[in-house]
Order: sequence, then structure tokens, then C-alpha cells
Amino acid sequence: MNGWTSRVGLLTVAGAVALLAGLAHGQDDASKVRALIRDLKDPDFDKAYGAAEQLRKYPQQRALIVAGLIDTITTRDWNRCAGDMRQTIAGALEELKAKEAVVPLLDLVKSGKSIEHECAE
Amino acid sequence: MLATINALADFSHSKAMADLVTAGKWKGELLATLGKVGPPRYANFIGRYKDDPDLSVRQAVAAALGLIDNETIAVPVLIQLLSRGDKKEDFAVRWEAGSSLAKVAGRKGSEGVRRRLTDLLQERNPMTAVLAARALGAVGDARGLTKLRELTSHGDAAVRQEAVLALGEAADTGSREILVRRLKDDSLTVRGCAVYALGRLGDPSLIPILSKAVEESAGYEEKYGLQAFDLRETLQEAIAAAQKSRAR
Repeated sequence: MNGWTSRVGLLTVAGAVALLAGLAHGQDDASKVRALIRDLKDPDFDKAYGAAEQLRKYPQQRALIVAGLIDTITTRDWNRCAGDMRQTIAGALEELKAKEAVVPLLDLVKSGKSIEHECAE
Repeated sequence: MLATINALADFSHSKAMADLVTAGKWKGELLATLGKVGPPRYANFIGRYKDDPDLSVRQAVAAALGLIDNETIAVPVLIQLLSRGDKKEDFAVRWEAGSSLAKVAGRKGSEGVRRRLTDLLQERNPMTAVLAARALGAVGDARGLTKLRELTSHGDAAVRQEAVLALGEAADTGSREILVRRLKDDSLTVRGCAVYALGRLGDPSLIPILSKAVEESAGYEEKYGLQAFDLRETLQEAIAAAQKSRAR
């Protein structure tokens, strides 16, 4: 094996390692996002609110987050400040420019569930 | 929630929003969004709420009709909203209707709405006339600017205030002397509006005149115990606006 082919071989291995590391990192982020969405669905307002804030750190996981946010906002309730929680989730959907959220949000408005600011904090 | 809907909705959501409005839910907010994204035929639907007992709904109707592209339906309703109601709380609706008419008048081929606004300049109700003049002035129509200048000396301070503010919004340099005269108005509020309006003209040579006027008004305020608002703050904003113009 001459010097040129060994350099190509090394570069190929390095590229493959970087690709695998990237995939692993992506999978790692996806599992963190799934865990955060579970917390978001928790009836405890503080836990859910904390998760909503954390989710902003993973914009590259948009598809997963948007689906989780829509499912949560339409099906869940919280022990207090539920209107605030829904506003927070709606704000996150707006940041992600999630047009697919409009119909579920209109259904939510129709349902009569609280969508107004309730809590002082 | 409704702000998110407003930001993300498009024409395909019009029917769902209209259904919610019909059901009496969040009428004002959803009508405003409908005006923004709805197809032209929804102007009829929006206009149906012009007599709603809720002031915020009527205000939303006025705003929405300025956004939707249907001059034939929107303009008569907007003219009506601008012209009616003499109660203090009606003013917000009338003002919004005037702003919407200015938007419509600013579009291509808007001679029809300009003509209707010009007719309103002859109205006996001076607030109607000033709001119509404001809408015309906003699109640089000389008929509106002339009427606004005339109304800066009207007997009602609220009318003078609107005329002065509108001349400022239009940044009408031809009104400089008229606005300088308003710095000595009996009403401190009108004086404040004149400071703002002169700042909008973007002429740095006015800064000493504005400073002097605010000093004099401080004495006037102490003498009469009036607390309209803090003219010093308005002065700082006006100076900043004038200096910004010099920098350009």
C-alpha cells in the first residue's frame, strides 16, 4: 500500500467515524426529546413547564417536537396554570412555524378548555 | 393561543374560524385573523359583526376590513364605522376604521374610496371630518392635509389633537408653521402632540424651539396643576426623531 492509498483509507475511516458519531448524537437528541415530551405530558405544571423550556434546545428535532407538542396541547391537562401551559406550547409551535398545528389549535379553542393566562408567575 | 393561530393560519382555515365566530367564541381575535388571511368573500361575513355590542369586536371588524381585499363590501361598512357614535368609547372603533380606510386608499385604483373620504370632509361632526382627513393625509392626498391644517384651530381640543397627530404621522413639512403655533395651545395634550408632530418632520433646526416650548409648558403645568403627560419624554423622542433625520 503506497502513501496515497493509506491516506485515502484513513480519511474514509475518519469520515465513517464522524458519520456514526453524528447519527449517534442525533439518536441521543431524539431520545432526550422523547423524554422531555413525556415530562411535558406530566400533570405537574412545574415539571411540564421545565420540559417545554428545554425542548427549545433541540430545533433539529422539529418533526418529533411538533408532533409531541400538538398531541400534548390537545389531550393533556395540568394541575394548575393549564391555560398558561397551553399558551407556552402554542408559543413553541409558533416558533417552529408549525402550520400543521392550526387545525388542532382551532379544535382546542372550540373545546372550551382554558387558553388564557391564569397564573401570576 | 390566538396569537399563534393569527401567525400561522392561512386561507384554508377560514371556514373553521368563521364557524367559531358564529358559535360566539373569541369573535374579535378570530375576525381579525380572518381579515388577514380570508378570501375576499369573507368581507361579507366580517361586516355582519359591525353592530356587535362588544366594542372590541367592532374594533376587530374595522381592522379586518382594512386587510381583506374586497373594497366593494369593506368600504361602505368602514365609512359607517368611522362616521357613527359620539360616545367616548366609540372613538377606538372610529379611529380603527379611519386607519383601515387609509390602507384601502393606499392601494391601486382606490379613487372610489378617496372620493367617499373627501365627501366626509364636509361632515358636520368634526371628529368624522378629522378622521377622514387623517385617512386621506396618510396617503398624501392634498385634500386631507388641507383639512387637517384647518382643523388644528378647531374649538374642540380633541379634534385639534387628532389633526396635529395626523399631520405628524403624515410628516407634512408644509404644516411646520401651523404646528409651531400649536406649541402654545391652551391644551397641554395638544402641545404634546405638536412636539411629537414637529419631531416627525425631521428638521433639526426645530430642536431649540421644541425645547423652549416644553420648558414653557412645564411652568404652565405647575400653574394650572395639570398632568396631561410628561412632555419631557415626548421632547426626547421628538429630538431623537429630528436628529435621526440629520444623520440620514
